[in-house]
Amino acid sequence: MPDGTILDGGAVYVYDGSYDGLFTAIFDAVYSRREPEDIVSGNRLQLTFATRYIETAADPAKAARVKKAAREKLGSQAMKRIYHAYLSSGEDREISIYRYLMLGFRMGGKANSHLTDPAVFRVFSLSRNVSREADKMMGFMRFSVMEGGVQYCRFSPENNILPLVLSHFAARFPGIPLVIHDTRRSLLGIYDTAGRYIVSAEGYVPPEKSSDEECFEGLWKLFYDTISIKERRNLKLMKQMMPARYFRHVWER
Amino acid sequence: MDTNEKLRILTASAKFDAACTSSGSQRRSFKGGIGSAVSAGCCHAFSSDGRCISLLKVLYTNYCINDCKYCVCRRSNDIERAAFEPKELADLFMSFYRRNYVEGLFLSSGVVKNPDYTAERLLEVLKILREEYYFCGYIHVKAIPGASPELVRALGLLADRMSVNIELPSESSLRLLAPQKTKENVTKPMAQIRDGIIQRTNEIKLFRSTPRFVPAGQSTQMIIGATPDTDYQIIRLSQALYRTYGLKRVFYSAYVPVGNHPALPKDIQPPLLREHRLYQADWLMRFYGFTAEEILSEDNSHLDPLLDPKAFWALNHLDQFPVEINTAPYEMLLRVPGIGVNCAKRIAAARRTAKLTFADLKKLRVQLKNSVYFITCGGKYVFPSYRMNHSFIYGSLTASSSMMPAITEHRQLTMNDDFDSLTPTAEERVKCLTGQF
Repeated sequence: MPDGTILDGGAVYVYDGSYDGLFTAIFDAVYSRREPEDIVSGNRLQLTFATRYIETAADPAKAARVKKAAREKLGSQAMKRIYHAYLSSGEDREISIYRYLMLGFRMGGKANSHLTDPAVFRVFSLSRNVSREADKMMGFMRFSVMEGGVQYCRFSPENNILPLVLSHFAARFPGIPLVIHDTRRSLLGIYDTAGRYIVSAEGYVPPEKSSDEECFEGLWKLFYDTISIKERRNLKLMKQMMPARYFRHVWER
Repeated sequence: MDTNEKLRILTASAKFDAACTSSGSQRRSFKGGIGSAVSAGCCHAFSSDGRCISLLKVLYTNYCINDCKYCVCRRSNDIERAAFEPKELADLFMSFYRRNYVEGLFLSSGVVKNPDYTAERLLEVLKILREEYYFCGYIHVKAIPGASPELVRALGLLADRMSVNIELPSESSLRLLAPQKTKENVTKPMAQIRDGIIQRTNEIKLFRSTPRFVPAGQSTQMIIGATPDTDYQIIRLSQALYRTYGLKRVFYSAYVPVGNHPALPKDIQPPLLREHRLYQADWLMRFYGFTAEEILSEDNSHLDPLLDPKAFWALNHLDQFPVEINTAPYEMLLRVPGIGVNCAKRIAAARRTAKLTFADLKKLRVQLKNSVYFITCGGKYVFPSYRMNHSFIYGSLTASSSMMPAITEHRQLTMNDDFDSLTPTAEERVKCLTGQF
């Protein structure tokens, strides 16, 4: 074995979970010429004996080089797709992104129509899954106005869509401070009318709802109940359109 | 009367309007403003009838001087009446909007005093929203039939979408059930909005500052099942509206019995299946390149309850099938039952780099259940080709469970495969006709 390992189970690249970290790992994988068996973020790591782990440290300069090359080869649509796939909760997201990029470096823009390639199709479907969930969530999320004027919203998405919804709502309500709480990952998305931040939500206690909040919730519930046509009642259709995982937050139903 | 009561009464009167879409307009907020609109639209909830709630859909008032027989708000109907104050409605809406309950406002109204007075009230609400609160989200407003062109223009400059409802698919029905409404009253504002949109698209090329005019286009609505008009008449009319007035959408609303006029049907269930089929036919005309005359004809004037209109068309044009997935033009892919716009695009992209097989189609998540009877991959059918006749396909498409054999990478089908019992049972036919799916 040229690198001295006895058991050859392939190399697993470990990165810190950040977007730049992923691209650094890809950079390292390309330049070390060791085909990665998998790329995993540190917190998902399960050590096995038969594998060689290669730790990579996020390096913005390396990441920028890979991103620039990828944008030139695959186009900006593809970069958006890759970012969305990165936000997904699919276990194989990093390695699929890696293989999609490698194909792209080899064949250029044509890789984007190579849908019969499993990695390309996987990146496409992960990205579709993420943007679909984000689009749905943007409708189903409900803000409460809290004491002090901050608007607070709690949700627990399957994919890590917090950056997407945060930038959506920050652009929509430029003058209103927002706190979006991802209870599944324990993350807070904060918009303070100047900038957007994502921080850990450990130990965070949301402020009390403001006093007239109940009145508006009542009005909305009234509207929701009244707008439905009872002669057309169709709960099955309603559930089909609003699956159970979104149900928790749509409290008016 | 408090806001609670008003909201209840004016929502109940607005709920029969089918349009609740927030698509077609792209707006961004600015410093000091609030709101945005995305062109794909966004649903915020689904009510217990399964319809999307995207907009705060209310009437400004349900007092009305007209006596349209099919309408809950008709003058002769004994119901609770109410009217918002412009400021009150604007405040209520903004408090819903900032909590992300809704994507925008849908504002309609009964006609109080006269059409101009009513349109002025609506204009007042829109002015408060756009010019006091700097609201940059989606607004859909009704053009009140009979209102003066200046008011329609002023509304159009503030709204994203406008609509004028045709309500009934033929002039004779209109005369019978809506004596105060005339065809002219409906088509005049429609033509004006169309011309305004065309003028805007021309002027924006010369002046960047040209104000937006109804950027999300206009729509209309027809009530289905209140009058004896046929499906053929209805889709012919829709086609004419799309072509001559450039409408973005025609909505179909299954008639829910609310009137007691002798000409109206009583005690009927809303014809939901018919409404669904009309929407399918409408989609075929807007996205799939079909014409109304291809979908139906004078002799065959109603859509088939058992089959969707595309499958129905394909069955009657078997000479144009099968379609070879790897070589067929995109327009023809769109005509295959079971292949939608997204699927067709995916196939068109994927076949550029690889020759597609049925297994590939499965990988691309192409729904084979309905399309398999109409396509070949590399010249091969899934079924033996001698079975590909009208009765076999009809039976398979209408049967409750799919008869399709499992497609795996290597399996070649043989004559011994089980293709029996492929016609729908008598019970299934009855169920279909009574609408119990």
